Amino acid sequence: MGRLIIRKTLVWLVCLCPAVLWAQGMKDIRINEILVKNVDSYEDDYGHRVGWVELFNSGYSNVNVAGSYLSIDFGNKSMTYKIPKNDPRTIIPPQGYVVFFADGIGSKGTFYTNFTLDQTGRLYLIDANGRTVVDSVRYDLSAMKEDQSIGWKVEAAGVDPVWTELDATTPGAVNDVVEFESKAELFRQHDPKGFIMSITAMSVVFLALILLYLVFKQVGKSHVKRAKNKAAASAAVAATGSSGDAPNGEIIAAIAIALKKYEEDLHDIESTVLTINRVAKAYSPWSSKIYSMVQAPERKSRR
Amino acid sequence: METGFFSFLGGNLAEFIGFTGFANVTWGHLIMIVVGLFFIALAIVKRFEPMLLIPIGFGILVGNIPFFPGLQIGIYEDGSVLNYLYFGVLKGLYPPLIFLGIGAMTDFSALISNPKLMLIGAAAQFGIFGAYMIALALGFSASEAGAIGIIGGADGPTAIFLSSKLAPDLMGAIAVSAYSYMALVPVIQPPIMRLLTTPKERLIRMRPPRVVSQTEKVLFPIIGLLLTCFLVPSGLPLLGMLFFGNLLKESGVTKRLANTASGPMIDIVTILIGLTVGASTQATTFLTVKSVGIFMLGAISFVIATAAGVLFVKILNLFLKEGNKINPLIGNAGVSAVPDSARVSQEIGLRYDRTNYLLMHAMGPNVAGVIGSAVAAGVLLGFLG
Repeated sequence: MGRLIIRKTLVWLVCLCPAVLWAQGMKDIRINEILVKNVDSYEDDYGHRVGWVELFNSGYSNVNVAGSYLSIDFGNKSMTYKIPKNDPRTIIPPQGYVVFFADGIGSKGTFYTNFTLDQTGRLYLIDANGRTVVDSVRYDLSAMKEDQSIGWKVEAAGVDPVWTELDATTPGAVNDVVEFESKAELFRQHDPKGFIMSITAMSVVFLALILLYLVFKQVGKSHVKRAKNKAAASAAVAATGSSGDAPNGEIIAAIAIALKKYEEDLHDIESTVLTINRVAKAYSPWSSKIYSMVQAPERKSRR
Repeated sequence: METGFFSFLGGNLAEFIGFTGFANVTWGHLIMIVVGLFFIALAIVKRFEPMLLIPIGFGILVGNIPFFPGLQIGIYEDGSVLNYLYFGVLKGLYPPLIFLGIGAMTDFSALISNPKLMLIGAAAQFGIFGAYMIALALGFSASEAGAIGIIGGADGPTAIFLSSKLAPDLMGAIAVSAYSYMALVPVIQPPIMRLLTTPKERLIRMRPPRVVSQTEKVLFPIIGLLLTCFLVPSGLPLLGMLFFGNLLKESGVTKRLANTASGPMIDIVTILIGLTVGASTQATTFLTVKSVGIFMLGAISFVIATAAGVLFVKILNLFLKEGNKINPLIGNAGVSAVPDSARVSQEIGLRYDRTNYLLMHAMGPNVAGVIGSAVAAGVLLGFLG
C-alpha cells in the first residue's frame, strides 16, 4: 500500500515537472521596452522604422517563447500575434533579449507582428495556452513622443525599477545606461573601516556554528543517554540472572568460550612458510623465439 | 636566384627566432620561472603540500614561457586550450568539486563527539576579517579586500571561488598566496602558538572523544546543510557540495560514489586547478604592486587567524570545568588547512608531552574551519557580490 502511494506520488511528480518547468521559464520573460513612434531610431531587417517590443529573459536558463502570444487587445484574434514555432531564434538566452517589430503586416518573418503599437495603449505577453497573461504593460498613446521609448528603468541603486520613459532607446540591450556604483562600493561608503562587515560576518559565522553545536550537543546527549539505558538494561538482565527467555550468565559464558575457541581456530596467517625461489630453467616455450617465427617452407626436391 | 633563396631562408629564420621564447623573454618571466622552480623544490625537497605545489609550481612555469601574443597559446588568450581549462577556475567550477571530494574524505566524528570544538573553527575566521579591514585601510576596493581577506580562511578552493566572483583579476595572486601560506602552516603557526600559551596550558590533556554512532554521522551533513545554507544561501555551492560528499561517505550505501569523489575526481580537479592557477600567474598580470600587497596581507591574515583560534580556546577554558578544558594548542587548527594545521597541533603538543596526542582533538576545529570559512565566503559574497 505504502509503495503504491509512493509510486503514484512519483508518477504525479514526473507528470507535473514539465508543467512546472515551463511555467517557471515563461514567468522569467517580461516586456522590457517598447517604442511606439519610430521615426529616426532602430531599423528592422528591411530598413524600415516601425514600432518595436523588446522581451527580456530575467532568468538563468534558456526560455523558448515560441507558441506564446503578443497582443494589444486580449481576446481579439486580429490584434494577437502567435510567435511561430521551429525558429531557434525564439529561444531567449539567460539575461538575454529579443526584439519584435510591430509593423502590422505579420508576414515578414518570425519577429514581425500583425499589429502596430499605436492602437490600444495596452500590450500583453500571453502564455502558449492562450489564457495566462505572463506580462502586460499600459501606456498613454497621446503621451508617446517620437523616438522616445518606454520601459523598465532603475532610477537608483537598491530601488525597484519603474515603467517610464527611458534616457535612450536600447533595443536588445540593458535599459539602464547610467552606471551605478557597485554594491560593494556602496557598502564601503557606509563602512569605510570594515568594522560593520567584520562584526556582521563573524556573528553569522558564529551563529551558524553555534546552531550546529547546539543541535549536535542534543543529538550527542540523546545518543549517550540511549547507550547508557541499553547498558543499564543489559546489566540489569545480567544481575537478575534470567529474564524471561534471556539466557543466564552460565549460558552466555559458555557461548563466549565457544566463540573464543572457534576464533582461535580461525587463522588468516598459515603456519606454513612460503618461500619464493628463483627457478633456474634454461628453456621455456614462452620465451622461445622459434614459436613466434614464421616457419620456413620445407624444401622438397624432385627426383 | 641563390641570393633570393638565402634571403628567404634568413627571413624565415628571423621570423622563427621572433616567435621563440628567447626573443620574447622579460625579467618578469624569469622571476616567475624562479618562483615556479622554488615551489617545485619546496614540494620535492621539503615535502610541503606536494599535491598542490607541484601542479602550481609547474603551472607557473607553463604560464611564464614567453611567447609572441596572438597565437592562441596563453591562458588569457580566447580559444587557447589553457583558456578552456582556466574556465573552471574563472567561473568557480572547480572549487565546489574539490569540496565534494573533501566532504567525501572527511570524517566529522571528532567534531560530532565534541561539538564545542566547532566554535574554535568560527573564531579562527577573524583572520579573514582582520585582513579585510587592513586591505581596506591600504586602499583596496571593498570587493578586492573581501577576496584578499579570504586567504585567512586558509582554504585554497574557497579563496579561488570567492576571488573569481569578487576580484577575478587578483585571483592568481590570491590563489598562489593562499596555497603558499597553507604549505607554510608548519612554519607560520608554531611560533604564534608558543607565544600565546603557557607551559601549563600546553600540557592540558583532553578527554578522549566518545564513539560516534552511524546515525549521528548521517545526520551531520543533512542538518549541517540545512542550518548553514538556510542562514547563508550564498555559501551553497561550497557547503552544498561539502555536505553532499560527506553524506555519500557516511550513508554507507554509496561507497562507489564516495570513492570516486574522494579519489579520482578530486585528483583530476586538483591537477586542473593547480596547473591553471599556476599558469594564471603570467608575469605581465602577476608582477604588480598589488600582488606584493596581497602576499603581505595573506601572511597577516594567517597570523591573525592562528592567534584568534588559540586565544579563543584560552577564553573558552575560563568557562569550562577542570577535566573538560581544551588544550589551546589545538586553537591554531581552526584555520581550515586540513590536515596540516591539526598536524602542527599534534607535533607541538608532543614536544611538551610525549604522550599527549592532540591530532584527533585538533581535527574537530580543523574541519569546523572548513565549514566556517565557507560560511564566511558566503557572507562576503552576499554583501559584496
